[in-house]
Amino acid sequence: MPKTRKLKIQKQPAKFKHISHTADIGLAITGSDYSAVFVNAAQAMFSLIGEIKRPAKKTVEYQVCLNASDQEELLVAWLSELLALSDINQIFFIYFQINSLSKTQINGCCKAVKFNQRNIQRKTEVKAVTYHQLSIKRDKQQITAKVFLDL
Amino acid sequence: MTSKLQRLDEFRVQVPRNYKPGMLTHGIIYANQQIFNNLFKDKAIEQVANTAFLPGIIGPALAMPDIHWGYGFPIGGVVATDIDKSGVISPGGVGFDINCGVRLLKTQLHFEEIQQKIPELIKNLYHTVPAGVGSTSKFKLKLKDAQQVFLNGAAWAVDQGYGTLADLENTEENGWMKNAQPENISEHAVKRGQQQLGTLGSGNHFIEIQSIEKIYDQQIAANFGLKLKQIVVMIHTGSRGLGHQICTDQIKLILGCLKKYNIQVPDRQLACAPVNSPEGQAYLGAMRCAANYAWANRQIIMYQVIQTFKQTLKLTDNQLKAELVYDVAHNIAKIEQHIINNKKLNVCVHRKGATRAFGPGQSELNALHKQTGQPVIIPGDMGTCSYLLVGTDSAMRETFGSTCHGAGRIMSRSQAIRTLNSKQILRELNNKGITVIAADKQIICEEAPQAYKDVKQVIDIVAAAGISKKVCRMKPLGVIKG
Repeated sequence: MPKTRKLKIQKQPAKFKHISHTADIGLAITGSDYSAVFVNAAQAMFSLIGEIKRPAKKTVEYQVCLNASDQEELLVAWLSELLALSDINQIFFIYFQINSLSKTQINGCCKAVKFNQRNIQRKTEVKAVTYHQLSIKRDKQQITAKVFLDL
Repeated sequence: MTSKLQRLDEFRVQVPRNYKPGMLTHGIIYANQQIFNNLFKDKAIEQVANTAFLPGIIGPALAMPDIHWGYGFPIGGVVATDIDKSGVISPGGVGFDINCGVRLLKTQLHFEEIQQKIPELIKNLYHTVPAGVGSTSKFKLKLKDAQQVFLNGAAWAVDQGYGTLADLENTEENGWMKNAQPENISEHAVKRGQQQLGTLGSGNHFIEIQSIEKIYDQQIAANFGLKLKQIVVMIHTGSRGLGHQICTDQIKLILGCLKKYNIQVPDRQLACAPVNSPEGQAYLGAMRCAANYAWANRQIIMYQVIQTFKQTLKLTDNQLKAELVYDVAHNIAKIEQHIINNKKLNVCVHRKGATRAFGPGQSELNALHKQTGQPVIIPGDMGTCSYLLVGTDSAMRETFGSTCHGAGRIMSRSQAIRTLNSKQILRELNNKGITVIAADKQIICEEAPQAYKDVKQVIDIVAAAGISKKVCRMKPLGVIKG
């Protein structure tokens, strides 16, 4: 069950850029470790969905615990779950914390505010997270993930 | 790679089987030279080649002239697999917006009668039909009602008073597919579906008031009760969050089938399972729920459109005489029988941004359409004409009874937002006499005419290639965009 609390939330800067696609949009996300990539990917997706106009007074907390066959599919599962929760509960996620992350499991704690016109400017409907050109790669300095969203 | 492609005639290009190692068949793209030249700007051709990897594929991997880069399948892709030879079904071959489709409603109104009333009609439609990002329904579907929608689609909506039996006769599949399996859809999907019935959505979804500007086939137009300057309404939407969630859930499940059934595909988005496997059947059962929901959605929105016309124009049902011309799906997989090499085969036809276009005499059609061929409704972009066509015998022979679905994008949404000016676009549309209301000005840029191919070219190609026959052309008068 979601818990309701009054909290001050600090927005973390996200590291991502958009990849052009004829019908949809791709995200290229970077992070110093895999947890950062998952957080940054979620922030990137929600930056397409909306924008905070005024800081919210109340947030609602959600625990997200998921499994998948590998880490790339786990990324899709993570983003898909956040998208579904957002649509079902009419909420906008503003904070993401990864409690534990392996190649096949994620346990996260996320905070969201209710969508209303005063607080959140809605931008784009993201229909779904795809597996198209999905990748997570590590080089010497950072980890880069690529994921395409269906708009 | 380019050198391997072979132009077969003015309207078809072949992607040979040796284009990419692993292809099980060749591909055919319906494109004139201009459309073909633009294909190299993205990966659409490679996606046609990739769909040729699907096990059990029969005939070529096809793409219609509105082809553009998708994910897994190209948009405009048509692939059939032989069910009796372990042919597969791929959720990516349907897409997330299951049964995104379009319907055309006719009225007895004449353009001159209501020309001055278009802005008011558009404003009232915008206030009546929930549209735009995050829009939610006026219906609060209880679970047992939601289950009935998943099972019975538009028939449920008619039963609730949102239309007539005649509407079902003029809808593909009579507005509902048998053997939907609500037990195969997740709690998330059900919850999303409960909240969004009767909503337009956003992106390229729209309701458009049009008038018939040109008639190509007088006889068929007369059979459909259509004449010049007649007011018609086009509705484009799909299965909303329910469909998106069903596809998301099912792709995740079917990914595991690649290893189980020893299937190799070049793109995970082409994940698939044999149609006759438990996973294939589970996907079909879930997909049919979403398809039925989308037909119910368009049925309810049509009812809302009719009520808005009556109230705004102060007309009775007899005065308006609103009737459904037809409703088509353009993201769907169907089990159909087709004649291949003189044999009748059971095939699974995937249409991803492609429309069924059955020719005259097909048993699935109603009595009128058995004579004329199945109506095919092709929307243009915001500022250009839309078209009504019919399916043909050639389509049955060459494309598994399929044709294009629209204009096809040529510009990404982000490029459109960066380079186009919404005020200027609105001014240009207003100067053409088109009233536009959109939930957000960003959509005006994303859906601008410049972001799409010339639909006239697309239509001319399918007509010249013989896979569809033009009936009439409609010009836009007013549109609401989500």
